[in-house]
Amino acid sequence: MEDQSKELAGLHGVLIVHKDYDQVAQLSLFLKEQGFYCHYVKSGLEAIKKFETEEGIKTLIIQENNLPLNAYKTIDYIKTELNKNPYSIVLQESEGTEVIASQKLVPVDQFYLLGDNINILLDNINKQEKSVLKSAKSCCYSVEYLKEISDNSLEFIEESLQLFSASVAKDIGDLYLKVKTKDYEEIRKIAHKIKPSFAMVENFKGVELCDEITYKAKDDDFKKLIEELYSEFVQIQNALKQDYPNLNL
Amino acid sequence: MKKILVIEDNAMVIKSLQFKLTKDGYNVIIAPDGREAMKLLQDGEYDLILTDLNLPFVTGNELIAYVKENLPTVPIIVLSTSTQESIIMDAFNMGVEDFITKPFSPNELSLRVRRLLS
Repeated sequence: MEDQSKELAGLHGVLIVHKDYDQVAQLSLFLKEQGFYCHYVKSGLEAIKKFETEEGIKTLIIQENNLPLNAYKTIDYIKTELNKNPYSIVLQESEGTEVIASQKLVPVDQFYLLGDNINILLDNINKQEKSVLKSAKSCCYSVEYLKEISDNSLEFIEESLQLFSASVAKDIGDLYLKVKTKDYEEIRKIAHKIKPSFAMVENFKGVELCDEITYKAKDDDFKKLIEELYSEFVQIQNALKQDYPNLNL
Repeated sequence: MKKILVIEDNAMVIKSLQFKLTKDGYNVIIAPDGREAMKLLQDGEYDLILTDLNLPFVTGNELIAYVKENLPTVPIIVLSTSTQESIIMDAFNMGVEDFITKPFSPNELSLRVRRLLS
């Protein structure tokens, strides 16, 4: 894990926001040791200024009840007004506040109670970074085929992507159910049915997995292959959500 | 207007076939499974059938057999993701007129459909 973190050094800035530096000094030191570039400010207002003027801050760790702007108002401002999307971690002062926050639909990525296992925090920051890098490196789908069929009709493309999202999610759900009931013949049929959907968005890993499930897999392999197929689907789904934010995916 | 029955269970493939064939000027009727297709075949008349082989309830092969026996003048194009020679040969041996792999090339689809309906 330490090696992975250092790979990211130089890329990943972390902004810690807390009225009392002593409370977060240990956290800051730990993250620096892991190779992150740490900034510190006292308030949400200063955090906003920092995001306005500095690039490269990818993670925001902010005290929940910071004044005059609390963590939620600060995150909301940064995401909606500044149009920046840092991985946002709220430093809770007591457990349970995440329930209230989630009910208010505040876009928080993680809650962390000071003193909890710091490796969980680090692990999530790393995962987030890797998934951003991964999606930047490789595009997991293409709409070229849909363009070709429809002579570039945006309406057709968007409707097809919505169909992809809904129908493949349902079919993969069915695959998981059939694994539970060990209905292997049905699993092969469903994978065969899904295959053209992956082909039409030009995700060839998904096509290969469908072929493997349909024609080659032994009974013990199904679960692992279906998990791989699901993970491929989630990647496409995440990319689509970014590229087509207006669609109901 | 020529009437085409499309028998297919993948929603994205249905949408693309419907879009392309409608644009080419055909009246397209959809059956999402073999049972629905059998009902439609018994109740209506079609100029061409495009069918998948792996269908719920009634298989593509059963459908082909039904059409060849009861509606022998209606041509059939099989749509399949499979490129396995044995599957293609079986379909031709049952009397289908043509075979297209999914996802289909839009121009190829237009040409093959036009050839059978001309």
